[in-house]
Amino acid sequence: MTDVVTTGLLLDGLIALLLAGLAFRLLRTRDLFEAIMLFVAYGLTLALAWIRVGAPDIALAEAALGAGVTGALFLNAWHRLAVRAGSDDRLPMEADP
Amino acid sequence: MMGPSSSHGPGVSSPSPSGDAPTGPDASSPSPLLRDHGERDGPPLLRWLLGLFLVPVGILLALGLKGAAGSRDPRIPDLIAKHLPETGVSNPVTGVLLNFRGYDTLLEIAVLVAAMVAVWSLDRGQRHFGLPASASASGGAGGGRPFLSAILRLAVPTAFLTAVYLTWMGSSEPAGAFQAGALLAGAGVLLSVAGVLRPLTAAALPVRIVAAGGVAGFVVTGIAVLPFTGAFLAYPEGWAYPLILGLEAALAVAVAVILVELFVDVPSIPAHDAALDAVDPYGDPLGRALAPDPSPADPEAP
Repeated sequence: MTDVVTTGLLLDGLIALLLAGLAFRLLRTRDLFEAIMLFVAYGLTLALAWIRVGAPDIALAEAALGAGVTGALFLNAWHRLAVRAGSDDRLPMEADP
Repeated sequence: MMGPSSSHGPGVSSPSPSGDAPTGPDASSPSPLLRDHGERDGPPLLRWLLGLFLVPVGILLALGLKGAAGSRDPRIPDLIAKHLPETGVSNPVTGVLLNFRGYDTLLEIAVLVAAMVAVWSLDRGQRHFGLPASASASGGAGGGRPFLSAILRLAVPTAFLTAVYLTWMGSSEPAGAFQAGALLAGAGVLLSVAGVLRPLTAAALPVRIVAAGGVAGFVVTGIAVLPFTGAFLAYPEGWAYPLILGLEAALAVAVAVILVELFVDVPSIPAHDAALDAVDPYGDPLGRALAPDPSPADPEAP
């Protein structure tokens, strides 16, 4: 019994740390593509958190809508704004305007 | 942690190959919407003050959250459990969302419809989306791209089946129309990107009808039950389950169409698009029109 509780606590702590770390990186990064990927990862981790608190409905919605559809929309918008220069897919975010 | 990536390459100011897209300042800085504000976020003192201001805000939020956690009315779960058999479904979440608080879900889908109308009203000019029809016609689904084709064959039927399952199971298990709609939308987006499905546009009447179907279904049902029960969206006894299932199905399809529509019916920004075409007309892995058609649908381009 205590083993189960400890494992659960470890898992919850891991998810919480992961969420905080992903959020921090997401806010810090200057690379829009990386930000989108982090956003999707954050959404999927959040879905795990919802499962852990016993809300599978919200977990499903978060994974499908929050991470999936919103991530796709961001990618779409990113791509509309992106300029592909040569083989490099990244945005010229560090370029002087 | 995130060092500056020197990821911009050369060739940003390469001239237009066709010559009809504008060059010049627009073409050499083709992302006027994207600026790196990094070092220009304001004076450091202001940023420190903002940070200081955020500390009490964070503490207040934490205190509020702590208070909210204990303030649930303890009678609510019992009330729901007691009246669940009357809702026609056995999943309490669906019972609340589609029966006790059906207007919540009505307003949710109304917000989505409004978002679609807003995006649609922004849209003028040509759309750049999806592989050209010729690409898919020549090679079947995926346009002769084996990986894309395999993914489509696996993912689309699976997504469709799962969406039907999620809608169906919503009455007894944690699932529902919005999750099912999002899955269907994923399949739709995949098909649109691959050029199998012609991109939806809100201008098409069938798209409008299906997109409005969720709201319309709710409103019509809500009014139709009035003479029997005397309250908006209060289902007559014995009718709750079929009505909820029908509403869920209409909702799932509407959500899917609206989300696909939001994804593919992208408003064009004429000057921006012209500049993009000037830089790299064939550079879109999502497959923007391989042969950019400059003028006719693009009246505002310089």
